[in-house]
Amino acid sequence: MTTFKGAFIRILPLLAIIGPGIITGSADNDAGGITTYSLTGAQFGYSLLWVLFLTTFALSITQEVGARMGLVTGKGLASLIREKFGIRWTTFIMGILLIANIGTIAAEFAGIAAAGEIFGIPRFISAPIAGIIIYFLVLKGNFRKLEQIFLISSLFYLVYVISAILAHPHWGIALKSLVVPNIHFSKAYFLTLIAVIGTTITPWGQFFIQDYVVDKKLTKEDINIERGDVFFGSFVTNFISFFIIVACAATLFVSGKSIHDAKDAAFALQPLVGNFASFLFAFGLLNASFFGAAVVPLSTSYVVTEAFGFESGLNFNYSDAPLFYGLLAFLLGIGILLTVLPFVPLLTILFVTQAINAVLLLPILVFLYILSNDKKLLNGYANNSFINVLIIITFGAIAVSSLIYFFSLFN
Amino acid sequence: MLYLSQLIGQKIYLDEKPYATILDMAIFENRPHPPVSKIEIRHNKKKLTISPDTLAYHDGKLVLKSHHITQLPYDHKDFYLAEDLLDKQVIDTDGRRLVRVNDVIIEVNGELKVAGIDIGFDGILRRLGLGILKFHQRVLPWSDIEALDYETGTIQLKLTQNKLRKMHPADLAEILEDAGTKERLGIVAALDAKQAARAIEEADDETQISILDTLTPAAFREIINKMHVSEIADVFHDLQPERAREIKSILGDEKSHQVTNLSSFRDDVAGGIMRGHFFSAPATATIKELQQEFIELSSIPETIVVINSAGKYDGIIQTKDLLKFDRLALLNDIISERKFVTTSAPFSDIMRLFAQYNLRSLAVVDKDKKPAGVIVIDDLLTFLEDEDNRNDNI
Repeated sequence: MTTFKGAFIRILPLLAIIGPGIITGSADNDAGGITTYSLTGAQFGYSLLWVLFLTTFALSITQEVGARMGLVTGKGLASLIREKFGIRWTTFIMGILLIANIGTIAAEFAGIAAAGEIFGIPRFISAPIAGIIIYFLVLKGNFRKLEQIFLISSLFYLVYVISAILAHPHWGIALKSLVVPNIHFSKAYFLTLIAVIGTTITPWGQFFIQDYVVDKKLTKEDINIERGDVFFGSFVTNFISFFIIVACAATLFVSGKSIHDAKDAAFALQPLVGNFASFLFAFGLLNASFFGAAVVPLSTSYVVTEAFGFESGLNFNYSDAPLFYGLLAFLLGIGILLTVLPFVPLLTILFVTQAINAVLLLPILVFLYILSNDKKLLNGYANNSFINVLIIITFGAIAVSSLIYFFSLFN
Repeated sequence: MLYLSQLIGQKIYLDEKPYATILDMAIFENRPHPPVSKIEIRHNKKKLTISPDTLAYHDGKLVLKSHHITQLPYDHKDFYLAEDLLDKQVIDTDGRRLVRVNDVIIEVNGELKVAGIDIGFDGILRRLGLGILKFHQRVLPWSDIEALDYETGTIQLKLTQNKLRKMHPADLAEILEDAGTKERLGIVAALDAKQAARAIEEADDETQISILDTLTPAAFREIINKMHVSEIADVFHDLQPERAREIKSILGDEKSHQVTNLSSFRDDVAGGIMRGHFFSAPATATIKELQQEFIELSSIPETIVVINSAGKYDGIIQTKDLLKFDRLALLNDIISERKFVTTSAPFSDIMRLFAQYNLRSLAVVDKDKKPAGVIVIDDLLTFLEDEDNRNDNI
């Protein structure tokens, strides 16, 4: 008995450290993620899997850099930018982050609305109600419970793994496509490629991982466990993404069906659950969107008020931190508003915001690169050249594909 | 009055022609109104450090007084306003929190002196070139802040007084929780070991672990010596293995046994909540004998645990109740409370006992009914607060 207890106590610290990477990774498969991967598989079959393969490394590296900077400095990315680059650059980056995150939040609400529409609930009802629930959940609720519920319900994604297997995909082609690029020179292909990168490596995820590590007060001594957590989280995220794409490729793409709204994407789950598919898909989409719709506005308000030195965080009353709560309400409000405007198709919001995220990631990567190479700041924990090369390649890949897409618009 | 943001990047003129640009300014930071000691300028793409005496302020223009410019040595240990203060966090010793410096207020009165810092929204707007918009002005005088070195995180101690040492440990703990890694260690280093130990104990577990894991061995030894055994036990298993071993060698056999013993309990049972150090006396002792013993103690305990001849728990007495009885009364006859819990009793049971019987303290016993510790009402509050924190964190 005592030995068992002793062993248990010794694992506990491990459990305390594991988390940031996995949570951020899983939250990456949000409403925008599911939609983007579904569209990718449905439109292009297996041919974009190589992008997913490469993004796994890019995600691991950018998350590792964020976690490492958090561990060593004990400060969030916004604080580091403020302290090194001053108020103007901070304002610029916060502007970028706000635009990106408003898009992401709109996508999360679009996910909620799309799930609602599967059940026949119109979006002008589902989105505002969800917004109100989230506002009170965040204010009154208990973040740890929310996180646990989210992690458990993330198991939903396993249905994609099973569904993909039951759909009898062409495993040979799927695996080969992971490493052999199959490039189509079309606008749609490059837009999807950018969206796949943008939904995996996100501006908000970069700030989130670092704040999470700082909040848990992890130190340099935890660096190896934290690296493991981040790499594992990135792998799990894209492992799931792989099966979402394969499931859609083996069902929608093969039968020549295209996705016009969320209901169509549910077709990928038919091999597993038959007619029950749309119900299950709606549940998964709702779960993914709901957590994102709570976390992204919260972490955005936190980062922005922190960067400018205002009272920030749920520990303050409304009257002590009006900007924090005001921004939170504003972000939820604008996310809902963009969703309920009837002339914007939900699918477009869900998909295009991901591509915009990728482009907005570019300036953030520049700051990430400079800061993570600051030897004075990181004191022996600065980047090595391998990591630097990977960051530059990631930057280059997003920049080049965005330029190709941009020019293809005029041809 | 000027703002640092208006001076940085300003041109310095010589014979009506631009000669150099101001990059930064160092100050004698340990004076109450610190004067500028050095000015770092850029002239022909070279950085020079000059004395403020070589400059004059004429019609809103900075002018060099003569062609002879005496250069001063650049010392990275100097406290530079743009490098170490602007956009950084400082401790507001009056408001007892960390604040971010949006601008530095400079007095021009014969010489340049720092008057205070701007932490308001207006400061941000001014620096973004939107100075005409005004919402909220908030400034702090220099005497109310403690600044930290950007590179090392060390506190720039003022000669006049160290205000940190006058702060309550709980306030210091909150600042430690919010500060960055280097800054956290800098603050701890500015306190004496006992104060540092109290502040660390008041901080949340994650902060305690992070500080104890990263302290220098010498500071670690001093602080551990001043910490309560029950507080060390709370975080003992979460520390780095080497640090846990060091604790054992620092504390010696008896105390480290107490630590390992206390730390084997879960946080939410009596064994994890209780304090292992308590005052005990035999049931056959008299109040007079007890008073004699108190004389030798540095502080008088609130609760006395009474044990019988077999060394087992008998009951507890509140020290204030001793006043009601004759000095020759036996402790056995005046026991006010015989309730106890075992080390594995869950928090909810303990809470119920306290509420139901209006207890101030409760004894905890081991399986042989020997006293293992005492829970006082403060321990329950600490537990509830920790629980609350854990749930709120992102």
